[in-house]
Amino acid sequence: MLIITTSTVPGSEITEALGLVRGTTVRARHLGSDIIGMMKGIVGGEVHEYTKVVAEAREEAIDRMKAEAFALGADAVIGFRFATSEVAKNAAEVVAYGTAIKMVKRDS
Amino acid sequence: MTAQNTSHEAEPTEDELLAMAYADCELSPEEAVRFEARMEVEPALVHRVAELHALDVLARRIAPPEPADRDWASLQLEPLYRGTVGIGWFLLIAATALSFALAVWAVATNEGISYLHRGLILSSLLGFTLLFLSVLWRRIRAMPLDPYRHVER
Repeated sequence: MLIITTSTVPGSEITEALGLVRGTTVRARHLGSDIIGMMKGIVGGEVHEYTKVVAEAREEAIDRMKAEAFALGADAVIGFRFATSEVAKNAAEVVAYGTAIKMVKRDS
Repeated sequence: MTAQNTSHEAEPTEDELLAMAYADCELSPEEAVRFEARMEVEPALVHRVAELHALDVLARRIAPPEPADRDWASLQLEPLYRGTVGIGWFLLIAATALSFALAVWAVATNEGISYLHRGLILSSLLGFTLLFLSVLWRRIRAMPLDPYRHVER
């Protein structure tokens, strides 16, 4: 399924807007990650443990949004965006959202 | 919840999107042929594609090289790193577990605390331990079903 940030699809025509689709997840990092992360905070550099938990949350949110779009019979999701917030100190919350559409390839 | 990264930039035009897709080699062969036919009669498209190519070259020049995954993996496998991390975790976990056990023992055998208080403290600790073990057990059982735990970046 095509997921793009723009509001149009090059070479295709939007035939129907099916509405908002979104996927949300909150993933926690474990205590071990926090301990290592705290130590890396002293010496600097990428805190891989935190990168990983945010990446996991990002992928899970996208997949949930795609599942919702599939359920609506969508061909693509346009206007795709991420939003983040903090609901717990040791967790990453990610919301992925966009507009599910049906489209056809343009002839010329 | 507060959204922190919503974009409000102007949307690119259809021609700009096509030019970007063409510059990134994302058009199908038929779409590319049609776009090239348009470029022959529309100099503005040629100019836009040239700009995008120049931008791509510039981005490659200024972007710091990303180390390959094997470089990261080799750092993790260095014996000194693995040894210190392994010993460090073992000492931390073993000492914490032992300290917890000693604290429980100290409370349980402290004659200065009434039976009621001892019972309440030990019940709280037992409840916390049981809850933690149940969450840990559920996590261990759920790990094979979690397709995202291998996502690294």
